[in-house]
Amino acid sequence: MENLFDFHFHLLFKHLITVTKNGGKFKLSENVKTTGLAQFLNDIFGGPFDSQSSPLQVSQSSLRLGVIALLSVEHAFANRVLHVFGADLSGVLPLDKEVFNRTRNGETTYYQEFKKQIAFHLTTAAELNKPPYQIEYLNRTTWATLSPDEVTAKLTAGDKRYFSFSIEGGHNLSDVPIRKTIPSRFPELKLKELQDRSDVDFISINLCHLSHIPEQPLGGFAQGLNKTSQLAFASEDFMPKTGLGLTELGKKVIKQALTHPTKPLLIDVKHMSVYTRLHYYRYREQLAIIDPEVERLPIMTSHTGFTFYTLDDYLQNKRFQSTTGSEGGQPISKVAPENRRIGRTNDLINKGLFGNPWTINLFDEEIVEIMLSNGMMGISLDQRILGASNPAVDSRRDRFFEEEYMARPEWEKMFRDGKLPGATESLFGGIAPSKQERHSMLLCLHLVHAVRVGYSALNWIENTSPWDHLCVGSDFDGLINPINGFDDVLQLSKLRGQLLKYLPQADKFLPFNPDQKALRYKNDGSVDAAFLNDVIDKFLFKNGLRFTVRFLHNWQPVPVEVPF
Amino acid sequence: MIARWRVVQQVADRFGYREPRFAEDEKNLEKVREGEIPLVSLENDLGRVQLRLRREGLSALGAIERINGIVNFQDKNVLDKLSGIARAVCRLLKDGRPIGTGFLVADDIIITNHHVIENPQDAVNMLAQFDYELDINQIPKKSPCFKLNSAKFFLTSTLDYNANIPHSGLDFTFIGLEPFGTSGEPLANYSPVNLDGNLGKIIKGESCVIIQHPKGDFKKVVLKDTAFFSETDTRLIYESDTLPGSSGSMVVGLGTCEIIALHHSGLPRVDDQNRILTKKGTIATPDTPDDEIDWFGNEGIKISKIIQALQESTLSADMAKIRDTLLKKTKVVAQQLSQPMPTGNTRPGGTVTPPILSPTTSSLSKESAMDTVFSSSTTGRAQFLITAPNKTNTMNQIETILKAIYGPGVTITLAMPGSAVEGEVELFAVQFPFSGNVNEEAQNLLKIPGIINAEADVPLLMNADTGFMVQGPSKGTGTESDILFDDGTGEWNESEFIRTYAESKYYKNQPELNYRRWNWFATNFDKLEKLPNVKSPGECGIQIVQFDTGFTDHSKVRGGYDLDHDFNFLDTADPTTAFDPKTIGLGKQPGHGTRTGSLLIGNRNTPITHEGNCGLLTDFNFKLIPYRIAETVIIINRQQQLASALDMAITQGFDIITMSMGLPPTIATAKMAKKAYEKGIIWCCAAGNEVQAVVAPAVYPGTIAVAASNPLDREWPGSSRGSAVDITAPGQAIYVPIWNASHQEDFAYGNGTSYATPHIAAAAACWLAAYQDVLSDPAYAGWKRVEAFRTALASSARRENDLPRKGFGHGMLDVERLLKTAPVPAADLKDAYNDWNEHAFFATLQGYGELAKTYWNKFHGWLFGNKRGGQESLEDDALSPFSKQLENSLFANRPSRFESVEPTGADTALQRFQLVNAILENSAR
Repeated sequence: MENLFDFHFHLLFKHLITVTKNGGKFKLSENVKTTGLAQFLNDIFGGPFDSQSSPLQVSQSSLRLGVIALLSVEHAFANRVLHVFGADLSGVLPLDKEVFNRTRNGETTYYQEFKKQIAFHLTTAAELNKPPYQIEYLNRTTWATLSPDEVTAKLTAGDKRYFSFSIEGGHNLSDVPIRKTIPSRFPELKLKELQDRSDVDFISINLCHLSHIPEQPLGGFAQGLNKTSQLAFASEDFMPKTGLGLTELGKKVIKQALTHPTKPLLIDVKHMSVYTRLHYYRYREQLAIIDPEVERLPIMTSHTGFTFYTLDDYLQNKRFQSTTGSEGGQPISKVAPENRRIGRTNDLINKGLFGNPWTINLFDEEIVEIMLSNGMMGISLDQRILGASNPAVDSRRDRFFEEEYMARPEWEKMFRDGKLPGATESLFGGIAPSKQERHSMLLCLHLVHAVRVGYSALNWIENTSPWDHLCVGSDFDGLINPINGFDDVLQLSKLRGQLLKYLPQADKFLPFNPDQKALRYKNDGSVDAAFLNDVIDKFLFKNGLRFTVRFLHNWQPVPVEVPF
Repeated sequence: MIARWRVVQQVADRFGYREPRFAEDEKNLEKVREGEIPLVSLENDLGRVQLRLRREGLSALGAIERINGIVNFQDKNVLDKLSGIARAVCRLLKDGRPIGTGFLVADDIIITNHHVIENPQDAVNMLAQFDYELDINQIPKKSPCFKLNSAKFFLTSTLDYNANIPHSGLDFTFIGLEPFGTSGEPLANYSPVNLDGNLGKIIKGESCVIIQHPKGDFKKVVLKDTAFFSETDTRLIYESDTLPGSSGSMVVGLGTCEIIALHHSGLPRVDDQNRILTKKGTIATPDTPDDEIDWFGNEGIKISKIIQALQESTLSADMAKIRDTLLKKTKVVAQQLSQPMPTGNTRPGGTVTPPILSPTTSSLSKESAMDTVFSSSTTGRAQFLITAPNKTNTMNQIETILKAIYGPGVTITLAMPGSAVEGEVELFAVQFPFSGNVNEEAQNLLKIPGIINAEADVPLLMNADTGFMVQGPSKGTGTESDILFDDGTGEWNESEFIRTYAESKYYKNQPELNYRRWNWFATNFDKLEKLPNVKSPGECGIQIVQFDTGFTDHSKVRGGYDLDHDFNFLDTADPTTAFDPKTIGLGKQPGHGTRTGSLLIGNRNTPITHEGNCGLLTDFNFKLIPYRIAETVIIINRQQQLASALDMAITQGFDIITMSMGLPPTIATAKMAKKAYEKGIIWCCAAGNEVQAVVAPAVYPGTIAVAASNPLDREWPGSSRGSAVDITAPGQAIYVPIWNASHQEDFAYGNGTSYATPHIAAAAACWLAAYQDVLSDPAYAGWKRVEAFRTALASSARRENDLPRKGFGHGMLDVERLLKTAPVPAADLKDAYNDWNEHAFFATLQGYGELAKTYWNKFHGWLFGNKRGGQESLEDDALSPFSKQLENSLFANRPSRFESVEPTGADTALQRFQLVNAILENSAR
């Protein structure tokens, strides 16, 4: 069975925030499942309510290693989640009213709620350790005595699943009542408290999440929610409006995360605004001057997409339109980035493929920065992050590339019939993905893009390549809208087939850095299948495994080539 | 007579396709009723809104205030007016059977629907019956009948529209009446209601009243809230309340008591083939009872359209004369509406009246008006600060109304967006094109629903550095004038220090040059390093932001600033650096931030001649964060700059602000102080120099107010004092860095609560660091953090001193004892605002704010040598009429008039400021 690593998913989050029809809690062995009207809502919102990576689903999947993101529900979600479109749906959605009400009414703190999340994971650990789940949570302290080889061996032996924890959002560190007047002043001390705990260990923390936390601004976040989701929750807090990069509090949190003597946490740049990310890269360097230990801690993002722009191009050539004004007394500014067509499909109506150029996704320079730091990028399986927009017709966007003339025979063969020259033709069948598989193509375009950027910008010594820095970061059970065909963790086993099929095509058709191929080719122009399989291995599991070994070795330099 | 069903079907045929729009307007009306959108925003015809406002005979703001209030509050005279109008309404009988309603529009002319009287033949055997109504005892009144006389006047417009016939389809008939009733009663007993064909008698969302004879019954008036909400080109659509027989009734706009329409028919809901629907959704037939039809509303013919038809129709000479009578009102009102709109402070319900002054002071009004600096907007864009609930709906309402009055150029944004809390009353910056008196306009803004307080954001002179006291004797010892010249340079003045303080314990028998840092010994900062619990504030993450003129490259402070966080809040400059370019020149005196900052982070050793003193936190390698909020110590252009700085300090999570600049009490600074307090920021503020009264923001409960002492442990005479003061620290004869006249770096002894303030900021930083473990408990979150410090500061203060017993807080800062004083339990802390009547304070400030600012600016203008003129191009202008009245009532009995240009003016200005300030402070306590 395929082994998989997932850099970012949620295991018990939905169990915590939902109730069954009878008001009880779902058992660990049950999936959260919506029915009736709730199912309808689940469908129109792209499936955020049904389980995608429950313990049961995980136990049936190929997932062997990964990172479970823990988070407390933000006010912006709790605000109106039970009142979608003005109707009270509290009786329909299987959500635990208690959790949402105390968050909405400020009767609790995010830190309290977060500790409940930890406690829930820890109290269920014994049960989850048993078959069929066989899940074990990773903690550096218990692995410290093992050599990297021993760690690797242990992680890959048997049927066990090993998961680390991460903290999704700095808001989890706020110890003041949610969204009241009082500000949180000591998030770094709360983080220290967590780092000092012996019963739990975290690999990383996201400084920001999807919404503005007025009582504890740590840094700018990038707008992540759009369209239906925004409509559903209807909170202004999802729209970034204020702030300028990292705040002093944010720096305190980062400093605390990176400089803890025994259990440093990585900073996950996902959800930070692009300005804040750049600010962070700079601040990390400043910290490294004071404390060289910081240098060994890689930059990472657990579930990202790419803009397919260099920031330089984006800014210098103004690949966006912006407007400013005020809404309801709030000063606002909006930036509309240019669409960038990054691929195509065989769907006649829905032919174009576009990335998501929103700045929540990484720019090319950042891909390089992360690779330089020996970091890791989890590629999101959320279709919105990868670029899908309108579910019905997604290939029409405001700005198209210019038309070009094409020789008729070439056109017939390549564009009409989707055939490629050389061995790929027979190996991989049709060139363009079907409507159902368009999102797989999006994923492959992301991988190829990052690899090409890496190859172009950096030198790679033998046995290293940009492929070493990419992994899956599904964000399952994080209220996402998963890419087509990958509705839950069980479907991930299909990934290899899709990658085998579409990576070569993505490498063929991605218009950026076209001379710099991401894959290797034989003299006859055919894809080097061994290399292809190897990089897919890396993306699906080995990179994650290596990263986990490094984590368990507390980021001490380990031999780059872990024997697999 | 045309059958009712045909009328309704005709309406359905003509207007069925517009149903979606009617429905949309109906929804919007609901929103108005729910308070989601303001009434004036319902009306999409801005011309109509303007005319409607004009009809109020008030300023635009007054008019809006009244129109918005009409829904719930009507002047009683409306009843009288309606009662009068109602007498003109008559019941129309044909062969003794009631068939409709009409009303008298000229001495002997009535109007009704065409479908009631189609032609002169119809009028035969018809009677108009007046007073067909019940008296107060429910007994029918005597109701005389008058025969119709089509020969006298007859003009009709058909029910159906015919493109070939001008003004067809308006469904009206004018017809004459006999002058005497069937029993000889004179028609002259009944006054006509004259029609006004001009627009603006009602705007959408306003209510209307239909006076009618439903089903031919006794005269009825529907008193429920029936609103006009939609329209077509010729019809007004209003909510449904009529029954058959109402055809030809008058529809009266409640706000103006003018006839707005001739009621004509119900407006039924229809299907996509314009078939009339019942409430059950089935297709209605001519037999369907009225109450089963699904009515959308009612429609009436616009009076403006009827008048237009009347004007343009061809009539015989006799009838044309009568037509002139019918058109008279329209002409008169048209003239009135073309008059310019009233401005100023007029009150609803009255005409424009001059300010009422008492007989004894009226003659003074012109002469005694204080000059107000910057009271009018010269840029054409006026800036205001208002307080209002931070709710999207409220903001949208306010914005809509502002735009209706001041045009599309209005902007309204949160003054402190980063720290704003949804639903709370927050400070907003408002800008719009305006060229009048901004202080007066600020008072007008209060009439807009949702706005709680408003002030003009005018430049304010600042109480920071009294180095410009070249005009004469100051309240203090005036030593700053010894060290600083007009251009901000100064000279070393140690000999004077030694002469003055030879007996000071900080000088006498002290090691050589120790006296240059006497402020250390007076506060026990020299003992700090020996304390067991002292921690480096910087390493504990404690930071101090300095609100001042920014930093300079003076060697004394070089390297002491945190240039990762500095920020410039001035409008014009590069925001990313708080560098003070030291613009040298009269009134441009730079370096204030350098002098005050040196007391925190001044380097220990520099090659400067006369080197001495150093920053209280220098040994901790502490970095000060400079926020540049003003270009010079003289003036702050906009309070918004200060608000932005505070907002950033809050959102960054900083702990302490040190501010050695003061302002008069203003609405904005009061809000800021409260906000900083709620957010747990320790805002150390100079109590003030030369004005004696404690200045803003020190005067507010939320801040820490610092007064100044001297090397004799006595008060600096120039220090402000009062119950608002929390603590006293060295502020007179403090050794600070300056530039000398040759622009070389030097030192001098200077005075000011500006210098006392950093001592408290430094002490706060050390105390927060020392007790961080305790204070990080959530129980100390928010204001309790500030209050914990204030309490510790008070209980540890050194009481052995020669300060006056009152007005200097709890005594002298003693940092050694402070650090030994642990925070009291959080539960024992008391909110400083508990004893502060904020509502009363804001209410009083709203009234006295302009005077306070004016006297303040006048006094400081004098301090800064304004009389010699030209430094900041201060523009003189008169007080707003309101503040003039206030001034007259306050100072009516003062013997001499106040003139700003005379030297004596400074004292008067100060006295007046102190009086107003005292009124303000007392209002809250």
